[in-house]
Amino acid sequence: MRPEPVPAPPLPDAAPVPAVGLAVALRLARPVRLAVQFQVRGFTALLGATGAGKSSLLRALAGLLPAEGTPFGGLAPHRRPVGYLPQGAGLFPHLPVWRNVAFALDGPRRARRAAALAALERLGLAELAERMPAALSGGQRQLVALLRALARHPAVLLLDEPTAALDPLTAGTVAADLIARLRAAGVPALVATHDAALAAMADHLAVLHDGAVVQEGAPAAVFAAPAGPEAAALLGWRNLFAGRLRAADALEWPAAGAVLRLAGPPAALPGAALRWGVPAGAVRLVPPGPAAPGRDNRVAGVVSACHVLSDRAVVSVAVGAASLVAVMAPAAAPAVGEGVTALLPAEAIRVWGEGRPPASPG
Amino acid sequence: MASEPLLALGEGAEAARLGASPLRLAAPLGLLALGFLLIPYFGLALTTDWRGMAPSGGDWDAVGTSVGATMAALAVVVAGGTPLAWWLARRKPRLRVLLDALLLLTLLTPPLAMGLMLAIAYGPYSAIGRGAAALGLELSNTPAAFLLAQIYASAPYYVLAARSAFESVPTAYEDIARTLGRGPWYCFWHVSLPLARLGLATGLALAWVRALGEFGVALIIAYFPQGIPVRLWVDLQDTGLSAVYPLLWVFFLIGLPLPLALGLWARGRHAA
Repeated sequence: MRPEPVPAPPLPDAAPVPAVGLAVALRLARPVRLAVQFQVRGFTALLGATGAGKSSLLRALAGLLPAEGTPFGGLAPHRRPVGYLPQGAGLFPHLPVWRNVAFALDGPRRARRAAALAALERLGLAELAERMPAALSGGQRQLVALLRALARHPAVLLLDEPTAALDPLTAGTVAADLIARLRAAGVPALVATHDAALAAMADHLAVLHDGAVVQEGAPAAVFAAPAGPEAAALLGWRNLFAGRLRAADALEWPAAGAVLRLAGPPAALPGAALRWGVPAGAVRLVPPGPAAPGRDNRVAGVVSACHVLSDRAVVSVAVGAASLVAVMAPAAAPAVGEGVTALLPAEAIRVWGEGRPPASPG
Repeated sequence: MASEPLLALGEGAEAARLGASPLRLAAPLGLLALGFLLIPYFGLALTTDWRGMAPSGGDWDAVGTSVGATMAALAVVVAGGTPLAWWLARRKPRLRVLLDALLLLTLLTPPLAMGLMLAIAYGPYSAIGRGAAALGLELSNTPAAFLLAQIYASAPYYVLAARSAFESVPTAYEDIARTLGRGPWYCFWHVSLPLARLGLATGLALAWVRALGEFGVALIIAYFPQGIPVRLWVDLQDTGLSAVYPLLWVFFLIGLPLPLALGLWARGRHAA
């Protein structure tokens, strides 16, 4: 039997609109005080700590919390061109998968079903159509929720912690799959996350701290130069310490009883209390011994822990009262208890002033 | 093979641990309590004279009155109580205590007191009663009065159960439905209502039993037309205990299947 023509709009499987920047400028009073300004460009990650207000920001964008600003200011939630995927995907538990996907579609039941099945087919999920959401895996739920949201041709997708409900083993795969689908759909997406690994996969990254977006830009640039120690901590920097500026290019590190040479322009006046950090990947460990030629800062320490993973070793070195983390190839990892000299390249050290806007070059 | 004895040992240990707990006492005590609660049912079953059972004509009239009025009352209760329950479940917390207290007041008022208060509020000497009478609607000892008694008797049970049912539906689902372009009405019909259906069914079953079995309220303002409870009372007064058997059995047959079915269905869904 020949199928009848389907009047319902087909679900998009390829870019209907190019990924363009969407300016967000929002002000919230409750439940978290927020005043944010940033861009959504392609797949944008909104990185913030738990409780920083990421979910509230997404809900405000969807119109589910009162807020002032753009975009969509004043529109009722059901009139906003957004697709909202809450934490855990939020599939309607009383509806089978196909009816979840077809939820936003209008028209006769047959046409809606055909459109939903076609969309599921395109993602290779056709066999899930009659299942109830409780019978799906976390990753499948995300994809079904994505299809459900895309059916309305939203101008922007809002995803709240899409990997939080997944087990760590599959989270990476699911995230990569989800991002590929988002890019294929061509709809800009704002993804709230506290996961630096997910943020690193984004096209654009905004860091939320203390009620504001403190930094945004291409992930590589943001990861290399966090705007402050809090942003650095969110981005996964492990080596964050307190210090004091001795001279324009000399940093005292009291916990280790060391003075480090700095490169670049001075961050503050001499005598100022500072926070500073160095990426774990920039720290090199060498056997103790006379200083070899080179201008790297040298601090002596003892290996206190060494965790060897499949692709890298994470080594903790006790340096005075401080603990310094270095990441290296597993083969290069020293043994616990071994004395080592840590090399801290002056160029890799970042310094942030305390109690005032963070200093950042450029 | 090697794991089997270990497993059996583990189970035995578990059973021994449980056996030492209060659960060991709970089973016999529980069965005793259940048996005590079932004594009246055994009494009824053992003393019924099945061959000599003959309902009177008045009994069948009472059945018709009760079933018809109960269905009408439930329609009113569901139509008015569902929006009220939904609103109570989703309201701002400012009035919460006051509204809860008012709702509980209607639930906790003894039926006889409610009947007397209905007589005061709707009776022939009240403003409402006089106004209704002027429009040709007597609110005392009429079908309308009977309906009124059943509504007042059953509505609080339905509203409280329905409110809990709506409260158990996370607002997140309504939010998602709205972001999917659906207005508030669509969200209510297609999300809130179906997700609350188990609790609503429980409320409906409770309301059915309350309305059908209402005696105290009906006795005061709707002695006529006689529903099953008042008719049973009349049979008892006029003839004695022997006269109540037929209608009592019919009472069970009509009153219990719906709530039992809804209750078992809800429990089954809950366990699944």
